[in-house]
Amino acid sequence: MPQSLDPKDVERLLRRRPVARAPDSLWERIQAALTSPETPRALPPLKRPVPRWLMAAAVFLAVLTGTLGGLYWSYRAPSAWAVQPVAGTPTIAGAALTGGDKLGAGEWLVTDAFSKAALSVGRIGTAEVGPNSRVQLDRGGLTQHRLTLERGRLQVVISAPPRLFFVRTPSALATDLGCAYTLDVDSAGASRLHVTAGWVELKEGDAVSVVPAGLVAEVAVGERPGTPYPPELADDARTALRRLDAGAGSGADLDALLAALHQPSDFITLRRQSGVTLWHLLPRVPPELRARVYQRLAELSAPPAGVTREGILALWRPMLERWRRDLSPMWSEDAESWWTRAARRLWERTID
Amino acid sequence: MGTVLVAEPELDADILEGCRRGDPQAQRAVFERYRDRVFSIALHFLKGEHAAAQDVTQEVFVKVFRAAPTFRQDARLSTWLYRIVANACLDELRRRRRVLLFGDMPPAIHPVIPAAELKDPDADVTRAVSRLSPRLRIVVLLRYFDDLSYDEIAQALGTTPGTIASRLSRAHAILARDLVHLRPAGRSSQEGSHAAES
Repeated sequence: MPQSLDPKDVERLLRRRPVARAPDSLWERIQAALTSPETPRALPPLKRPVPRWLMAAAVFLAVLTGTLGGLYWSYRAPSAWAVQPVAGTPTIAGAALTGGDKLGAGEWLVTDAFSKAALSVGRIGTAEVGPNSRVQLDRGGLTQHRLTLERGRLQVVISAPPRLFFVRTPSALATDLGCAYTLDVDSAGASRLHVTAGWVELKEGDAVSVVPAGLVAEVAVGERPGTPYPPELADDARTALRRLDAGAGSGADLDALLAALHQPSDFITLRRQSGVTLWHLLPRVPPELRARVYQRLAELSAPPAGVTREGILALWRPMLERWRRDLSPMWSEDAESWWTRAARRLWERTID
Repeated sequence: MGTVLVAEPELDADILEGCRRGDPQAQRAVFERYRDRVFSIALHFLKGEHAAAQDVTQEVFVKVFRAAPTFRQDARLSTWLYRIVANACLDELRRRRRVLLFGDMPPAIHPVIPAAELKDPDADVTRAVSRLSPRLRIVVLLRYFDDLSYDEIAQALGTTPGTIASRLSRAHAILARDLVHLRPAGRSSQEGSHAAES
């Protein structure tokens, strides 16, 4: 333990400081200075310390400016994206890539059956363009990174706050919510999204599907995004789900789907994946089938307090949302606290 | 604007009024009253540099006498004078920093301590005080050279008594650590603490 002097001893030592004698010659110097023609100066202003609130405000502003500057520097969308050939001879505007190329706004990156290319998504991630693909760089906001995938495949890994990376396809808009995913577009323009990490929002018009890691969602041109489902779902169940999504499903289709959704042996996986599927399905099935979807969902995860069977069957929005939050706290933006959500919205509106 | 000065306990009101009028004799009286204390503060603040301390002392009195006609009616001369002393010392330090930033180091900025002082306890205290940061050093000097109260120091430095108490406390802690070798013989630090508490 470090030793120190007693406080009283410190005072005693300080008080016995000898007062130094000022030289007598000082008086003459002062008199000489006073009689010099220099204009008398006013009292020196009181040197007040900078008020603490002002210092705190200055520090806050500096931190805020630095943070926003850092975020902007990290997430700003470049006007041209670096692109590297991975296999074969991808082209930009008909010219083969030679390495060190850039994809400018409005330009198309095209791959044939044997070629692939890697796009740098600003500083936030990468997108590998698969064979037989056509990808265009779109103009976005200051921080919005936007691509159009006309056909083919994109394998995306993004490490950034949600809603900075968007891919437009002929059938939907995929919005990154912090994730990794594969997006395929066939020759008819239909999209298939397979999320491998995080969440992706698939939107067309007012219809939205929020797809978590491990699930797949499909959407055809002119239709609403389909219900997310596990990729291992059997073909007949998948067909049944498509019919249910289209509003043309029957009791037999629902039977097939519910039976298939019971396949995972791990209950947690089952609840996590099937819960998302069943929740999306609730408003998409006809009323006479909705009770059975409710029943299966309630078996997987009991509805939270305040959520009633009648309310869900009537598709009362607050109850649907409450159950959704209870099913998966990480589901979409409701997972965020109010201040995080407010900050994110402010960020999105001010920057973009 | 009223021009009546508040009399110092030690100074006659006539002297202050004469000082306000520019009477050399009154000025001399004020100078004699405060010269050594102002010089001592400057000397210790500037780490023993006599020439610089004389310059600062001269500057202080010249400012006081030139601005005497503008004394506030409710101000005490000593409070005002110590404010000028503190500002002059800090200004001198700032001026030196600018010199260091833009030019050569002045030769006397690290005064050589005479060998005779090396084992002198008072010299140890002087050195320890000179190692304090300027903001702590000026508070210690005003407190122990001139016995100013916390309120008076706060007025001189344009801050609050609470800030002064905090700075003095920090200065004490630093000095207690740096001067531990001067502890009276036969007393441990724990004993000292108990004594202080009792």
